[in-house]
Amino acid sequence: MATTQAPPTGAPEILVRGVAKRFPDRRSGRTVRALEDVDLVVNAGEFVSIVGPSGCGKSTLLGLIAGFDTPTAGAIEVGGRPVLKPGPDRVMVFQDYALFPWLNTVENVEFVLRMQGYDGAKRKKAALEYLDLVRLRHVATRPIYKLSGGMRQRVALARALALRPRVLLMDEPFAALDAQQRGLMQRELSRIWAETGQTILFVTHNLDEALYLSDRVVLMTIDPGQIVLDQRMDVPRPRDVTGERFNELKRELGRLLESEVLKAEAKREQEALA
Amino acid sequence: MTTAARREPVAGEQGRPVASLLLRRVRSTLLALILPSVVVAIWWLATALQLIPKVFLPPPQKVLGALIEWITGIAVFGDPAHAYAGTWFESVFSSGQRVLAGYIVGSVIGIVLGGLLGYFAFLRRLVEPTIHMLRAIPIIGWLPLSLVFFGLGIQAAIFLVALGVVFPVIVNAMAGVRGANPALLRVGQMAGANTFQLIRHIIGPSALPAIFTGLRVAMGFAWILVIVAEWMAVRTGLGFTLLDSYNFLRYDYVIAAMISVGLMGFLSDRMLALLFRPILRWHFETTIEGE
Repeated sequence: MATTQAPPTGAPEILVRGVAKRFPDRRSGRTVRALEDVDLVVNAGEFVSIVGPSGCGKSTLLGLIAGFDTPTAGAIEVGGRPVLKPGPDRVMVFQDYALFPWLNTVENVEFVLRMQGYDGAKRKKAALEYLDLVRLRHVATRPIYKLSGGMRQRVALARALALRPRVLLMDEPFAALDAQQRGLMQRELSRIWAETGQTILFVTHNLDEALYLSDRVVLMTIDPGQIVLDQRMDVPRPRDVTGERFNELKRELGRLLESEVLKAEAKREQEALA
Repeated sequence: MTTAARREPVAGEQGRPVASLLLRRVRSTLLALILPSVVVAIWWLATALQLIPKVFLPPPQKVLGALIEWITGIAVFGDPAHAYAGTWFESVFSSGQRVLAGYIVGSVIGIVLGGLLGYFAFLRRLVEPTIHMLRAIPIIGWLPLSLVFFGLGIQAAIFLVALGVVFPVIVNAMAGVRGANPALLRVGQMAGANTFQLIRHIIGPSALPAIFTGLRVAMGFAWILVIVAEWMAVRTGLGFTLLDSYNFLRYDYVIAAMISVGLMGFLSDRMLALLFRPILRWHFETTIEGE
């Protein structure tokens, strides 16, 4: 297949094979199949987004890769090593930032470096460099509660990158931001990704966001949570969101996503009636 | 130039007058004094108009006289000096000592135990029901047993104060630990923190606002219990003076002692708040508690 741009991909970084996550639903008593037979490969340097209706298990999958939970079946490897527990090679960026409110901006970044055994001036210097990367050095000593939502997410991003993870896992990171801030953050993330070559697995419910940012967009379905489509984004960067190919893909994936969302809604209604 | 011109008006960041900090302090102090003043005024009227016989309720000026006499040793109304004249500082010191000792013992045990119960679910299931049963027992109910075990003396008083302090601190420390944001813990785990580091750097700070609330409630209990303890177990302090003055029918001293205890409680609470304000600024700035 001819692509307009050589995909910046290397060896597989994330390897998900036959993964299932099932748990009993206390109310209905039946088994919820949050994930069923999921296969996914993300190569080094790739930016992959997962979209799907809410409840399709996309955040669950991210949590399994992070090591917050263990799969019911299947195997997950990152950097060739099985995932057993959370670690600095797989860092999650959360929707609600998860910053420490009692630390200031630079201290938040310094915290993870401290846990990694860095100390003193070296730690401070490294933390400031990561703040430079997200262009926030000028607010280094500002308390977190004085920052805007977009700035907070940039601090969280700097903190995540400071751990030099093999893969960055982002769980709807811009969902709490207003439309303008979200646009800014998307461009910012795109720039940082290009600068660092960081492997990123990105979960969102916003298709435009996924199309704009990713090398590949993965579509998931609900009940059981499964991958139904893995689409390579053969649109050169920087992406023109009014371009022909971009909108062709947007129509195609949009139609599929909408039918998945409707299916999910119908299932929820059925459950509510049962 | 434009910036200089903009800086000109005497206004703070939000357009508030610059002098407002001092003004606000004065205003809130005056505001706080309204209610006590009204109570004293009604009290004075009730005694001046003989609505309540003087034998039962001395007028406020008499109580003030007793307080001055108690503090300075100088008889104000030419009364024969009371046996306790000039002993106020001594009493405050001995009561304060017991409060401090019991408070430190109780809050250290409370924070450690509450923290452990909050963190370890198994321990919580094992111990929490018993704690809720024990804390329902009025601390005064422990008085006979504490006298049996510690005898008459300072240990019994410290024991009672510590017992009164420990329960509110346990309950709040436990709630504080359990209220920690799981995402913050995950950040710690991803960064490679061990259990000790998670407790020290994430769970501890998360629980601090709740612990502060528990310590504040406990401070009130500490002063209540030191007074009770001094009625039975020890023969000095504000509480003992209060009871002994009652035996001599000196209600002016009784009320002066009540006021003194209240004042001590108020001042200890203020000190606690001042101690915690700098480390809890992040909390006060993001909640309505700070307003």
